[in-house]
Amino acid sequence: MRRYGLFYLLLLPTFLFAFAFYYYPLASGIFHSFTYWDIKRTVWVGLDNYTRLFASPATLAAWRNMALIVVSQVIVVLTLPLLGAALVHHVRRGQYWWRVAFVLPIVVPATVVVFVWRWFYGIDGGINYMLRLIGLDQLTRAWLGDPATALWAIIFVGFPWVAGLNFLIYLAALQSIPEEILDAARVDGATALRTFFQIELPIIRPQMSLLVTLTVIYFLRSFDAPLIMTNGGPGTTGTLVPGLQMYRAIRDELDLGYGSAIGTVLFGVLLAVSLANLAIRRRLEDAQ
Amino acid sequence: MSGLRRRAGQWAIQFTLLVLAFITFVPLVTLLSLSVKDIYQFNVAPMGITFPMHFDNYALAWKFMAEPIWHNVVIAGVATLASLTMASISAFVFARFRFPGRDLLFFAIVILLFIPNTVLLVPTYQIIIRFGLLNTLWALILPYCAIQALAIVVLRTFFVEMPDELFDAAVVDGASVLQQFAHVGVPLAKPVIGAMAIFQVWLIWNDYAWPSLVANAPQARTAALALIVFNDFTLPVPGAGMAAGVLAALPMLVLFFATMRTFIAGLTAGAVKG
Repeated sequence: MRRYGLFYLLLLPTFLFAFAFYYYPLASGIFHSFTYWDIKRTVWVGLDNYTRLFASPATLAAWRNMALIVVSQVIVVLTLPLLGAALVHHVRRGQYWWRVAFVLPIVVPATVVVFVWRWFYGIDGGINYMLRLIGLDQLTRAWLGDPATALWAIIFVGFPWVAGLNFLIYLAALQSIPEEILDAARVDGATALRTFFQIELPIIRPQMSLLVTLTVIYFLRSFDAPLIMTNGGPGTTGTLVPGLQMYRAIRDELDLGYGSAIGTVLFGVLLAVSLANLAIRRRLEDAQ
Repeated sequence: MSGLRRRAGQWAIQFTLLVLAFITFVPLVTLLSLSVKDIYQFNVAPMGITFPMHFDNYALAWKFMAEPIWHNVVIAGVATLASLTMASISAFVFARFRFPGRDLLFFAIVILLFIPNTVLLVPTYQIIIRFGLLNTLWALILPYCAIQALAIVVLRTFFVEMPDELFDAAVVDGASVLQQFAHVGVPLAKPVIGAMAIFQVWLIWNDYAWPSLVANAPQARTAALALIVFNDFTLPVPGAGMAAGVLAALPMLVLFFATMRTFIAGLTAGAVKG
């Protein structure tokens, strides 16, 4: 045993941190979702938080908003970053610089990006300014304050969505396709477009499915943009998403039990998505 | 004929890329141009470049942003150094040695990749309050130190693939585990460790929700947070608010240009975890 002691000792710091900031909070969150919990006291309330959560109209609105965001972003991830990567992959001149150009924006912190877009959406912001410039005054509005546009405005942050990690992953996948395969197609006289749809696209399908999964998982839980741009408004639920609902339960009401219940539901859904994804991928691998 | 068509195709590609890049950069260029406008230029001609440029906006923004940016540097530096030191030692132990329960323990680490931080927000918030760490840099440093799972998984793969011969000489010389790690493992793993470190710094620099909950006071505020607070509450010259945005992004841009290859490698490896 002494022989092995050193190994456990070396792993100890990692596990101390994992315990303090992953295992314990996870267990604590699930447990406290059945309690009334502020900083000072914990009172067992059974399923109260959950009944309150599922009965609340805000919950329905939050999940509906989130569903719209997730579906839109899945469509986005399957199109524009792929288009950008395919174009950069096939461009002959200045490929290196195009790549740098589409990587550079990732480096700008997300908060700064959201902050700039918030200005663009403002009453005196860039979008209304340009609309006035071309005489379309009747189209100007408070993009983030109008229930008809607020959620779409948040979805459109980052348009045209080419620059990003998705672009990098697509490009790496395209560049790893062996030349010989493409040469064979060219000898057969296939056009560039046909080569792309019939050879390259099927080869990078695993990356596409990976990115869809990551996109779903990311947007199920992310709420930075609504937090910074609208705080969930206009109204109480205009751009509310479950993550923000949880955040507000803690920050505004110090209702940690309720927040934990939202977190636990989110965790369950995320886990289900991850497991479903694993199962689907395994089945696809078996089929091949 | 086909040469002509190919050339036309290349022009179409260049043109489409140009359009996409143009739209991509409009917000960032606008941020830059707004950051040097006075209040009049800001309201009358927000889009496009105006003269004279008011670089004094930056002096005002710097007053508010200097300390938060320094906080970021400290937090990202300490947390990344600590978490990667722990993670690479753990990865090395997992990869190079056999001991009872090793695979189970490694599995316990892999599982962490499936626990999204968002769902830990509430209980972690309570821990921070309980230990009196609210509005201190520790409220950020300690949780960030726990981000190790991805680095452990990636580095373990790297260490497993290292040939045993590399370690033979060290083992014969009676080198301890840590000596093998420091003198053989680390020098060879440097590029991977570097990539993971940059990903970690990027992740920390990008975080908003967690700092806004536990470090929303002047003595602990991060750059992202200070940018929003500065603009929403302190109401300065609007151009200075934009200058603050540029300042918040600047350190990451410097890091990017200084380490471009490693930076891209780190982002690509990290993206897979998301």
